[in-house]
Amino acid sequence: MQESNDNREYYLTLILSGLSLGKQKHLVSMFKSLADANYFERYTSDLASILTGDEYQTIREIITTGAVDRHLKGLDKNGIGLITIENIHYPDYLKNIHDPPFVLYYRGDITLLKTDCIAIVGTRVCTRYGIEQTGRFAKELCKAGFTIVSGLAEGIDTYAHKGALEAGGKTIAVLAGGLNTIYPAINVNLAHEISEKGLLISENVPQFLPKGYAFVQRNRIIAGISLGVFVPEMGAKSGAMHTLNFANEEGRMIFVLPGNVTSSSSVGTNNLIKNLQGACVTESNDIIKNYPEHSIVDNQKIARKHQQLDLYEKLICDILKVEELHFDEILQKTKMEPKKLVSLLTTMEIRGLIKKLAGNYYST
Amino acid sequence: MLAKVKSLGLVGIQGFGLTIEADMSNGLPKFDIVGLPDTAIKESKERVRSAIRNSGLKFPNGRTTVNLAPADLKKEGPSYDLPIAMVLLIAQGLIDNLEYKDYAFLGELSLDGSINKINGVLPLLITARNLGIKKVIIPFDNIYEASFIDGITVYGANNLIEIVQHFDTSMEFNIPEVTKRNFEDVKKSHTYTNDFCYVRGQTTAKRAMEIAAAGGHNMMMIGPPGAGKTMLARCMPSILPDLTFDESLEVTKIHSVAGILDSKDGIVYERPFRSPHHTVTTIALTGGGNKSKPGEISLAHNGVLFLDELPEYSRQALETLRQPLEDGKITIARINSSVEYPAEFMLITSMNPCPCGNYGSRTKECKCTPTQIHKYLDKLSGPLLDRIDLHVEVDSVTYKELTDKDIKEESSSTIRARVNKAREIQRNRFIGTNIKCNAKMTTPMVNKFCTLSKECEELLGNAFTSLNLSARAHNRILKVARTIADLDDSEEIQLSHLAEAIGYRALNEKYWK
Repeated sequence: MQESNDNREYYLTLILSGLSLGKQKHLVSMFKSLADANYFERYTSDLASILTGDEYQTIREIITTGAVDRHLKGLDKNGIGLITIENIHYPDYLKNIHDPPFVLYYRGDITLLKTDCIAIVGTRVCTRYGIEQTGRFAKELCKAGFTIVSGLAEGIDTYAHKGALEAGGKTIAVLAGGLNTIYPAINVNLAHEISEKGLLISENVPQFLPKGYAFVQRNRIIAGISLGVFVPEMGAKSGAMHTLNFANEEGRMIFVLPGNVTSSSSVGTNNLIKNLQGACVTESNDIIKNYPEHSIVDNQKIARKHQQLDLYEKLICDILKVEELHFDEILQKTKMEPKKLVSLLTTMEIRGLIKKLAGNYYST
Repeated sequence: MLAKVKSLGLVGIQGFGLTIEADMSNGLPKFDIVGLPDTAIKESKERVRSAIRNSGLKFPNGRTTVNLAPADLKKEGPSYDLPIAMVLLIAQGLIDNLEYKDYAFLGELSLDGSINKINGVLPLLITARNLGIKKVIIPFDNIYEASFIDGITVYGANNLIEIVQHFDTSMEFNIPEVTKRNFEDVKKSHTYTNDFCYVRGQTTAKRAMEIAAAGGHNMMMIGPPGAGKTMLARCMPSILPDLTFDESLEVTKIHSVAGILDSKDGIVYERPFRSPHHTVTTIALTGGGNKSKPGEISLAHNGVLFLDELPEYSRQALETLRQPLEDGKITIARINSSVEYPAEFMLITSMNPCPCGNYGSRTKECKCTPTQIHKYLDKLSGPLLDRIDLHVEVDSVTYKELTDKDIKEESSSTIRARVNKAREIQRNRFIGTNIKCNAKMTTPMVNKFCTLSKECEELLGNAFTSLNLSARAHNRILKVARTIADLDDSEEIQLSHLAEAIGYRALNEKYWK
């Protein structure tokens, strides 16, 4: 199932050696391959100038004991795939960032990496507004042909993935930990679903337990494979800021949803709107129009539905179009009997005209 | 000399007849009580001795044995003091009037000879009547409880001397009989302190409560703190159908055994409203302990059990509710006895949507992470939620609603009239079965009484797909729709009834994803 000519033994040797990223890069720039024992022995003197004695011994051991082969067999057993930076599926976008990962472990459809991706990231503590808008943008962007990338974290990330899956679209989850240590545990089922219908990737070995720095490193991949980054909600101090910084460095576009000025979950996004010209978006088409090859989503369906409505239904649709209202407020405006109104609202909900929200609120 | 008197004992709320025997013989002074007495009865030796002496009567010298027969049943409590004292007096020949054989005695003695109040008089008297006992002497403080029982003559005695004089033919004195009272008269003179006319706004919740009351449905209210969930729940008894005399007796029996009966009223004429705190233990909720006392669910029999802040209760305690909610009774098996208590209550629960309470509120910000909310809601099990038919969301009322003088709220009596009417329809529907209300319908009954027109079938079908309802919501929706139709005095379940029922559907779909 994999392309085998992507020099994986060499890169895996480096990954398994536990060298710092800087040294790995240095080695890659000097040697085409070290996986072969003969080759390795030949360059001993050159290697000595880069590696300490211990590091040299570690790599030597990996090569002579066949650790790489065992690792590959283990991956096969777990159904985990692997591509390296030389693989044809490795996206150019990612290759060109400051420090691209040498290998990517994956489960799912690896070809998604080369589709047009939009990242949706944001706060873990999201409001109802954030949840709804994330879902809406994810669905509409999927319909416009984008793949939704996110980090499988709680909050915005979760709803971005779910929105994409609900719309039947494609989604990529970039993990901070390994593929066998899904974090957070609450999203294990979601991860499973994504691996079947989308793609899970991680630059770390499958049993890797995510640590603080890994989450920041993960964010560079999210930004790296995406054309743009959309942030529906973000507090004043949020991990999403890292993703945005990477996106900024790599020249990706940044889109931000304005939020309630009193909501602490929107402080970060509202600040961005103040500082970044043109980042503010209010509908998915604001994002889509930046990528001419994708067509604008048609949102006129709702208007068509309105045609066959009786007097009360029309009235309710009209007042809910302005703002979401509590049951009692609708009651006041329509002057209906409570039991009739419950019954009418439920019928309208079943017909898909309106939505019932938490706390007995309704919206169109 | 040998003597016997009758008395009565209790296992749970079931009474049993018992004979107390005394035998006196010559020998060293000794006083024994046999026949499985508990500690309170063993101690009664001392109380009886002092009470008899301080009443100026003679306590037997020599060897005395008192037996509580049947000897294999465990006897509990201090209510045998009086019959033991009586049997000792009779054995000594201090009472020579043989009329005492018609009497049963109940009461706890004080050291000065006065008679103290005891628990469980009502079930004991009912047992006495069933056993064919004609006359009973009980403590004076218990007479109100006795005033509703027909077919038996009850005397309320203040002290031991009065009883001795009562049986003394040479004296004119007789203890006055307890005058009977009529249940309906007492009930009418009573008003509810919590009334729906004091609750402003909350139209959805009120309507849901009306439906819950009409069909006996269990109900859950979800909303932020301060929305008025507790106040709404406290108003519930005021719209429930009036207690019938039989129901009232059942409740009174339990309350009498538990010792929480108001001795002035002597009977429970208002549906009980029990709201145990969320630290309640499993045993306190279900009943039990070494005396197999009734728990909160039995005390709420024929009334309302209100569990405020549902997720705060221990999971174990909540799960024990499942079986009583189905069966309407609970069996408590202990080493000494296995007792069955009725527990047909209506469960009303309230909870916040998340730990901080503000999830879904528009005015206040929720600070909880999805994991916190998930954990909070996860404390409730699916099977328990399955047994709750109506789910409503309650939000805080605005200041305007609170102060607006123009809004006139419906009073509880108006709502109760509608509820009573709907219950009447149900009573006719379930004639010949032991089911009282729509909520308790079995699946065959749901199939029989909740038939849907083609239109309704279609609506329900659409609802299932578009609202993502679970299969177990099906019967629940049908039962509630049946009740709404009953409130509307409609034979058929109409489209609007069904739609409204779906409107109060399980929030499972929203919160418990």
